[in-house]
Amino acid sequence: MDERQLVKSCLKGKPAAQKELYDRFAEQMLGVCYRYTKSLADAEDVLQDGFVKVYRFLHTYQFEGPLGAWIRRIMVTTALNFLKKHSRYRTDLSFDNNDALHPVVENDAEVRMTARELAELIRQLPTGYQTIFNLHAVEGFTHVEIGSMLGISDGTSRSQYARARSLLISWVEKKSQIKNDHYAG
Amino acid sequence: MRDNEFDKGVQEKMGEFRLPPSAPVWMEVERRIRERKRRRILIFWFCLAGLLMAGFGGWWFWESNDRPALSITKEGSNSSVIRSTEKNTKDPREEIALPAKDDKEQKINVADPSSSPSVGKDLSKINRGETTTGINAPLLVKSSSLKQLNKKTADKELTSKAQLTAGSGKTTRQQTSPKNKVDKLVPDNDSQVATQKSTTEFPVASTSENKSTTEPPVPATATLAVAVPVDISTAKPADTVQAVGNDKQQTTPSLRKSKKSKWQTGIVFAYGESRLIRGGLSLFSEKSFDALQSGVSSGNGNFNNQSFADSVPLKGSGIHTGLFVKRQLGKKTSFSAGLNWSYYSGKQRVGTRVDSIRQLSSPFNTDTRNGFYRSGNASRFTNRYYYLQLPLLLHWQVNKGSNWPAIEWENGFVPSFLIASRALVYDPASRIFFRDKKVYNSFSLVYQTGLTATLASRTKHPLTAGVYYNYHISRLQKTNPPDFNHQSSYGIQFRWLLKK
Repeated sequence: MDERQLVKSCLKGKPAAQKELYDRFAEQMLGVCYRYTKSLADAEDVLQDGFVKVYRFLHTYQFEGPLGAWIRRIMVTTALNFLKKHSRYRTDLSFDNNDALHPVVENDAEVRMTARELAELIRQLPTGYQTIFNLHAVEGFTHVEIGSMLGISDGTSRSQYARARSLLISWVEKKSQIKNDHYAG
Repeated sequence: MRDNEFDKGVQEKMGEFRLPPSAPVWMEVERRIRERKRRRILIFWFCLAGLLMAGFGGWWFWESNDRPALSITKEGSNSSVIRSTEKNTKDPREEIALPAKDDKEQKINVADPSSSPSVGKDLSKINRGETTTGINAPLLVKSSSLKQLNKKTADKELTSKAQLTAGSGKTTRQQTSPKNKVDKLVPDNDSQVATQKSTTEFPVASTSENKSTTEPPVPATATLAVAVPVDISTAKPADTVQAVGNDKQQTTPSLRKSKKSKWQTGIVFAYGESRLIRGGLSLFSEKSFDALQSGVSSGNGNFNNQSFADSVPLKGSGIHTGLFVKRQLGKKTSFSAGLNWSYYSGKQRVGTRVDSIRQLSSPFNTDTRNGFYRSGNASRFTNRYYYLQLPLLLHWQVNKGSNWPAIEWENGFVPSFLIASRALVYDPASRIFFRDKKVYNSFSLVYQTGLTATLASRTKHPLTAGVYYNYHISRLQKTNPPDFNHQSSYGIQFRWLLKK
């Protein structure tokens, strides 16, 4: 069943089609949710809320882009709302207003690790860094867009991203070093 | 360049990152989709019911206001002219009915004059144009001319009063009492004209001249009120023509433009406290959970079992709102029926929520539950129940006199349908709370009583305020274990009459 057919069947309320839509995108979307949260349970909560929204607003999908991208956008929005709503994330989601760009340390880091390992490292970042890094580096939003989404200035977004990135690079290098030492030893 | 490579590498890695979700995620998503769908259906039906009620109320209001029951009544006598306004009358000719002394309306079939000997003769006469007025008596009374007609009739009656002579003044039936054939009004020529004129609208009155020569003169004080029922549509044989004598009472035509509806319509709103109680109307017999926890005996010795005490519900709120129609049955009694949306709630002390799947079985259902609450005192869960109710109540006015607000005592039964719920069921064996809609009775019968006072009864839309109490005779849960298994609610209620 192609995407158009699948969407139409879902709109008709057919349970089989709804299940198929879920099966087709759930794993990918849980990966998205996982990067924004600190625990798998929270990621599943976001996924749950996100899919309920998907079915609720499926009639607004105009087939203008891939269905996966549309669902992914919903998941990201849901994740951001989740972070704002829950106090354990809210306290960690404070962005300082230092507009000065944080200098990025020159490095030659390469991502030589599995997706899961990288995702785990991203989740180790403070929530503010983590969110902006995900939005810019992974989802591809501009800093202006991120600023409007999070209610911060684009300068803040840039500085937060730079810090997150340098921190992540240092962790990646450290991890790669440990791996190399392990294999060398 | 390096930076870009890092970003690209991250994007690629994250693009292929996938995690399989656990099974309960889909279960919960599915449940929420279905619940939403069910809610939409409920809202649809509730709106439809509301629209139907509003439509019915509107129709009733319009119908009662637009019913032009027109009558000429003679005070102290039974004489009247009533215009029937049946909408389905096929023939535009209308019926004019004259109640006899025994209050039975008598009819003449104009279409079949021969059906009544005396009347038929006169009608034939009229149709031949032999009446003094020379009117061919179409015998049609248009509704628009009835007002004018009644005025005319009144004038003619007054004229006749002065000019006509009548018999004994008794009202008799010509057809049924041959000896009363002579009981007629015999005017002289002038009065005959007057009478004939009046009978242009009520043509059969001309029959009164037939036996004029044999009749004794009517006393000048006698009044004439002649009305002929003309029922073409039913094509019944004419019954009789009736001359109504006077009982020394003034003939006063009066016009009733509309017949007042016996039904009142309005809206009701009630707010109060609700709680689950034991059977047998034991409203205040249950003990609070706090008391149980501290080991205070309830007095009936039923609270020793801790697993039972875990499930003791606390009070919540109750809301009832809807529409009603009310009809006066007697001087002090009335009946009302309505359609209400009702909400009952009650709080429940529960322990921590456990987000895991567990196989639970009840007498009605064995299912996998995704999430349940342990017993304890960590938090409170509000059990919510939504009903569609059809209250059927009898109202009795306990006080008398119109100077004081009417105080009414109401009693009745309310068939109730559980349309939705969001509540926990307690399993004493495992001491956990979980949700299971299948254990609830979808129908329950409720006894309701209340005391109300009508405020501002002279206004167009009187407000009634008072207190109410209702008790669900039927059990909430089909299962017996929970002792507190009967919903009850008490509080204040307001009724606002939209149409008096």
